[in-house]
Amino acid sequence: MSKCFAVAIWLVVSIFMGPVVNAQAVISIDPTVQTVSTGSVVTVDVDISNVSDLYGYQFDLGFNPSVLQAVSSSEGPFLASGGSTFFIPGTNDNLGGTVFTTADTLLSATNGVNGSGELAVFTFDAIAAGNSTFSIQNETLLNSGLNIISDLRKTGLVNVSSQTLAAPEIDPASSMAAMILLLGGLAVMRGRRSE
Amino acid sequence: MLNAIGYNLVNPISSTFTLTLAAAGSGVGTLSGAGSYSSGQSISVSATPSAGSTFSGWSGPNGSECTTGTVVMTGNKSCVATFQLLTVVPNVIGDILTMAESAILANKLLVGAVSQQSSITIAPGLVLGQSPTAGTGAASSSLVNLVVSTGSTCADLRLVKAAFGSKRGQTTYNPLADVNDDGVVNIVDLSTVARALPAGATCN
Repeated sequence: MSKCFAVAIWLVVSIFMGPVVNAQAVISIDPTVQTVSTGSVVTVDVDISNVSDLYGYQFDLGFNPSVLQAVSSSEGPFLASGGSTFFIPGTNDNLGGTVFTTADTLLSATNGVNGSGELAVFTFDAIAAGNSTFSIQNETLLNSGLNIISDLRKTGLVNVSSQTLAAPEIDPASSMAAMILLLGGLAVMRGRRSE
Repeated sequence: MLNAIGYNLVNPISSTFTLTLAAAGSGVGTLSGAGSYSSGQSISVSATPSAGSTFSGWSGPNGSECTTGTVVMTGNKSCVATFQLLTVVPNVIGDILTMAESAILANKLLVGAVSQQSSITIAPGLVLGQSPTAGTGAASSSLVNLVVSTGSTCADLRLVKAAFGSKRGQTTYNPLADVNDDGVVNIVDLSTVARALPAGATCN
């Protein structure tokens, strides 16, 4: 009887509590995939989701330097939603293909921010055709106790295509008129030959 | 009764006097110098506290003379040495001032001078220094001086920024910016300094 009761309790708890999900912060690139042509500017966001009490962060952003050249980086709105911040844009290494040590921190003894949002925005010049993966490396997320927040990271991809010349547009009406003129001309020439 | 030349022999002037030393207070110690001495003799007295106690001074009828360390035996004399049990000075580093004051009073000590000093790591309003240091013994009611942090500054934050990402041995590395002294200037150092800024601070 007591065994049945215990099983019943276990079932009730299992049903109502559901599986325990340990939500982990995810740091990712947005958009995940994009296609641009050479000569254009590529903008990517570094986003975070499911984070709790984020007080500061740091990461490197890797890219393919034969396809892209880093131009600039700026602070996203997510961390600043928690108060005053101090942003370090990072250092562009366009030979090795890394924007090093982009960082941001809240100021003063305040709580960190929760949820999801945009950490930073990066712009690149697409200098040649090819693919480039955006990879987040050496990231550190800190909570307001200055303890490490564990995270998962997701890469992004940009495909840079060669710039192609646009085909000339053909007006159907003009084409028909030209065809009529051509046929008319041929008919006239045939008539003159037969004379 | 008088002798032949008329001196009183019943109460002749005593040539020996007694020096009495006694201990008082909550503490324990040893005294030296008590005894019977000839008239005019100079006697050294001392009071040595035992471990965990402190000697706080002489008192009694001849306390001022004992305080000099030497008693001249011109009569019977007595002094009282007071020993106090030492109380352990609590660690109040990192406490907010009111908590620190409570802890000090709870240990039968008194709050002494409170001064202010900037700190790259300790948030404003928190105690960053104390004297005597924590764990040492102090007589009850003795003063504990405190130093309270006014926090870090934007200049401190910029100092960390200038060295950000550097490692020990590199030219841009600055040990002052490596707050946790782990050999690399990173977000832990930056956020540590940032967190010590006063409330409402903004830095560019």
